Amino acid sequence: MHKKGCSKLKCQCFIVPNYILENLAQNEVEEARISLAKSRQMRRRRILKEYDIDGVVALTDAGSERQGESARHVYDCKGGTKLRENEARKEGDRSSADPIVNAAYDYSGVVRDYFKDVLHRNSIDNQGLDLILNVHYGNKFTNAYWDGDEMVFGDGDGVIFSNFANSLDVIGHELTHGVTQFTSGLEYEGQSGALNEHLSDVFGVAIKQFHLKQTAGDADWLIGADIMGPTLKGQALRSMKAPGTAFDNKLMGKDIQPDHMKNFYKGERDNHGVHINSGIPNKAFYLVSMEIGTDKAALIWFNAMQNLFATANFNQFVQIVIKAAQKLVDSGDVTKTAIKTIENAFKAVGVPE
Amino acid sequence: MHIKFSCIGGFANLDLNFGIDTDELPKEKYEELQNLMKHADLHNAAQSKMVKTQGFDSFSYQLDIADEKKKQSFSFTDTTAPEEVRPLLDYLRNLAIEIKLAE
Repeated sequence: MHKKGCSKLKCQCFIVPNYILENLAQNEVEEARISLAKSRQMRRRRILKEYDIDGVVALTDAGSERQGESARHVYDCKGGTKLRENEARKEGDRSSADPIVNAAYDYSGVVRDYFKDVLHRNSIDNQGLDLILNVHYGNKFTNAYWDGDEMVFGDGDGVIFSNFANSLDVIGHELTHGVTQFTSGLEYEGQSGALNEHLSDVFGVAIKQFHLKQTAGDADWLIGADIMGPTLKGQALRSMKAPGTAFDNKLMGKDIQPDHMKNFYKGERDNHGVHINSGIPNKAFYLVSMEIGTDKAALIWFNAMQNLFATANFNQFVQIVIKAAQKLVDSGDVTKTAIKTIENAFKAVGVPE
Repeated sequence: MHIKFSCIGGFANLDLNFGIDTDELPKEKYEELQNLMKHADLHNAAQSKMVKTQGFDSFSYQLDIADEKKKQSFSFTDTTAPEEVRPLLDYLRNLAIEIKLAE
């Protein structure tokens, strides 16, 4: 497969058509799953004219020799846009005088420890990758994102949004994007993109509920409620319990997340609705959690996450979740009724179509 | 000069956009915008070529600038925007929020 003189580490060949890889991936052929992730990410980087082959390989081949300490490093951008400047607090340091630096440090620790202690995953890459968090980014920056290597948090404008780092579910959401990148590399477009967003929401709320010792029935199932500014208090960015009801205001308009396939968003914006159509699997996860508990539902979803492939759609996702649940039933980690619960929950949101 | 700007997506999935003639801006804002555009050195920034989103939850920006002589289009995301362009995007995004809230 590799040309003479072509380093196997540098050259990645994608000769098998995607539909065959998808079939193989769905039948748990691990090499096909990884090949799909690499192929899609290579394609995306070609569009961006960034030929960082080393980076693509690293996304799914977390080297077995590399073993980090999953140490936290919080950097203060001080209103600028340069990342990894002015380290404000690193692993083991005393508290900072800046409460936002401390929030980023503490909440990322909660997320890291949840993945390690509950799900037995050693940081983002399962190899102890350090966690890099950049806070106070930009001027009134109303966003938080994962850039493929690190997390970035804006202060918000103080009116509509408050500081994005000051929220456990936001940090859980962003860090989970990293985990997805290192497991399936779900493409950030259309249904696979909505699944990418869905998984980040799932672990954002599951970790928050775990940390607050809440049950599914106690929890509010809202994403981003803590970062809404004074003028939007009481609203949120997404509701997993009732998608489409999280907000209604002048800046954002009305929440249009669907809770059923019949209202699936077919437009182009938001990478074909990655933050919109995630409402459909989000609602299914909520329904499953209400039946078997959020901890068990998250365990099933985490196992499914590791068997997903880059181009998975909603229908394929359901099959993979059911397979993951069946394995956990067989090992005695979840009760047999979980399978029917999952089927019913997805049926309630119109999946599979 | 006419500026058309949009900022879409992000963690909050915002949809911000506006179009303005810079001559209509108050003097202070006009000067600040001119300085930021000079600093951004857009003429040397990569021209819009169907840049897809890179990064997760990052904003996608579209900036169209037109004067009597030419029209230029630029596409960026939070992760692909050159360092010198970012303050300009910050400014335009905040202006978009201000305009939307004033509507």
